[in-house]
Amino acid sequence: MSHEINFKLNDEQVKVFVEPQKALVDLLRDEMELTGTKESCGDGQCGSCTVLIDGVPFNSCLTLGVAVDGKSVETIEGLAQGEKLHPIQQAFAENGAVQCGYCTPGMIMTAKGLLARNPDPSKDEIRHQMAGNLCRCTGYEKIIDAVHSSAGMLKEVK
Amino acid sequence: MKPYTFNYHTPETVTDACNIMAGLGEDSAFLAGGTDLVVKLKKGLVRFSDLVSISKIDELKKIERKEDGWHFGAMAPLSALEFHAELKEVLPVLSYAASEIGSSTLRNLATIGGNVCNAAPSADMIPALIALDAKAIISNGSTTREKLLADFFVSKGQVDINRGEILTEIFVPHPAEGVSVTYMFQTHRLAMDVATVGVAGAIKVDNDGVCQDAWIVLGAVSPVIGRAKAAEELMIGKKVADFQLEQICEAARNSVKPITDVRATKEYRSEMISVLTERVIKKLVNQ
Repeated sequence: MSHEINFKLNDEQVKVFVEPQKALVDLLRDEMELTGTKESCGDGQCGSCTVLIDGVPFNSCLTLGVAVDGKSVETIEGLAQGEKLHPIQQAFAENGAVQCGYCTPGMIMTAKGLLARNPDPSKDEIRHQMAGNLCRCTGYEKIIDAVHSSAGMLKEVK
Repeated sequence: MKPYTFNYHTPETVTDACNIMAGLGEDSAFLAGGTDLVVKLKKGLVRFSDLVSISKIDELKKIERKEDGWHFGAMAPLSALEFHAELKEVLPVLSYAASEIGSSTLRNLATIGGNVCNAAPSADMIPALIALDAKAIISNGSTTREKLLADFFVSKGQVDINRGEILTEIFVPHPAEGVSVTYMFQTHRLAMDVATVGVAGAIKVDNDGVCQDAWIVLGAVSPVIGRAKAAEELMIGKKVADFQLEQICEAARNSVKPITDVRATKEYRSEMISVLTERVIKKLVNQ
């Protein structure tokens, strides 16, 4: 049976009907046509489908779409303002933290959640908190550098 | 072909959750964080007619420090334990165990109650909780009962809960004076891996340096996580300075029959029980 759910998607209130077995990542990609969120492993091992729900990073492949009723969901599409990149996106570009790019949306959403909780993380904490986001091009050092430098950029913005 | 689907319920109180579940058949389940159940569902390993999500029951999400101890709502996410400033300070073993599970995004989903009720032999929260004499608080919607966590696990994946009952809380009494507790585990990778062997230990030492009580809990080496009583008995009544580590570790090792699986051989697991038990006891004695 389809459920009506109402939630905020990148700051816009939306109403959709969703079958309970549909994962949030499929709802976002298939129904909402937001394909920035990538699915890779589909069972919570790789972090590429990470989105923020009420500001906290979750694996959207393990979150049922029906579960976001009444919540606020933020995807990679919600970050840039027009042509202006979000500071974390800017930092990823400047640090060469993007190779094939498939893991990047998940990396950036995990980083955003991490920096919201701790605006000044050490590199060790970044490593620990980002350890569930896999990059198979193996560019981890630059990704860690990007998150670390974006912490500084975010503070300047404030 | 009609796609697979199920009925999805979202009760907002424990009573409603129990009432809904009591009226459902065998092919129904509670859904907590979903880090295990949704994976199985997506892979087609399980099929349900009904899933009762308990994520809208706010009373199950609280973490409270009261006079008698810590009350962890069953739906408190592992990350809430990981980042709880007061818990980190007074019971760091629990925030540490929580912080080492899966990944940061999984810890936002996964709950303490789910980790316990899933009853995996390798569950990282369970050894430390047993070493702290934690209790499971179980409700049927109108009355509650409690069960020592050490006695809560029936078999691999199975806890002592009946249909229509729900785990509402994990209660951890404040450790008595002189008690220290720790948890160590072995994994292949630092993240996204489960313990090959885990050992939690606690000792209660009096002012004369005599061990009054001891807990050695072995994880990932038997179908059900449990205490190595024979090892504990070798510690109780002894001065900690006189602990016969070799004998104690041997007793811990002999208390279980680990299996060989994808993560390790039974021989390796046995050896690691000794190694980790020794490290745990040394750390407890020096704390």
